[in-house]
Amino acid sequence: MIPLRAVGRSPEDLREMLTDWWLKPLAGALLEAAPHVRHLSLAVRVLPGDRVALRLIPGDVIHELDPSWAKRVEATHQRLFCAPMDSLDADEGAARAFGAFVSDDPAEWTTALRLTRARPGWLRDGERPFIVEVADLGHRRRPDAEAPAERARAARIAAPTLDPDVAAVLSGLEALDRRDQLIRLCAKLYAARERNEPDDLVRAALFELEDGLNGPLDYGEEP
Amino acid sequence: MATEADEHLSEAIEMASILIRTTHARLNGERGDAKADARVREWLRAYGGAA
Repeated sequence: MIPLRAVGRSPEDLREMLTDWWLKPLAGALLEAAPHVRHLSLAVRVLPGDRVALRLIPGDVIHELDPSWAKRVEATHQRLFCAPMDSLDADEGAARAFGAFVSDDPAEWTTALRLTRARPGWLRDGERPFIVEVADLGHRRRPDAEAPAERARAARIAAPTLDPDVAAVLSGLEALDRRDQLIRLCAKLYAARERNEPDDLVRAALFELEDGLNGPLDYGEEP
Repeated sequence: MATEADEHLSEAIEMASILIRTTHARLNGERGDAKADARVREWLRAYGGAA
């Protein structure tokens, strides 16, 4: 396994990486591309210097994935991050990392990643794997439906510091957010035209689309 | 994923450009482009947008 070069200097750094712009966008990207995946494995490997590397891989349904996607997963999504873990051993570190991913209040959980023991076949030398079960708890949306602004914020923050492969994934999320913005604006303009609304209303929608095409990313109102 | 996403975005930009062009034409009283309109309509339908 090749760990990412991302560096966390403290457990707080690790917490931020996990909660704000690491695991969520990556899990979201994976689920977006392969929505039938319901298990991710989080493999943990102890690195020199009290660091651990975590590896996120899809679960036992990988054989059902589109081959090109499975290959991409193999190439890019396996490598997550490494971070100093102070005196924590790998098991405890992974448990803490997992704990950081979700809110303390279960009512606020969008998705729980439940850590359980993984299957022996997923082990690599030096790794201690866990199964991360992606469970929609129904309180809010799943990670793949997180607010675009949150995902893009994650991409913007993370991309310059990430492994190029992962940065590409997050950059892809931002591209999809921009696409969604254009779809929304195009639909608005098209509907105005179809309804034969007054010219000033059509022009307003037209200008909005032109701005959206040339301006910064605008996510519109949160649903 | 980036490549795939970029392709989606490129398509969206193309459709937005077509829609802008045809809308300007309509507002200026020029003749419509039914073929271009149909492309945009089908694209919007494919993504669950209006139309």
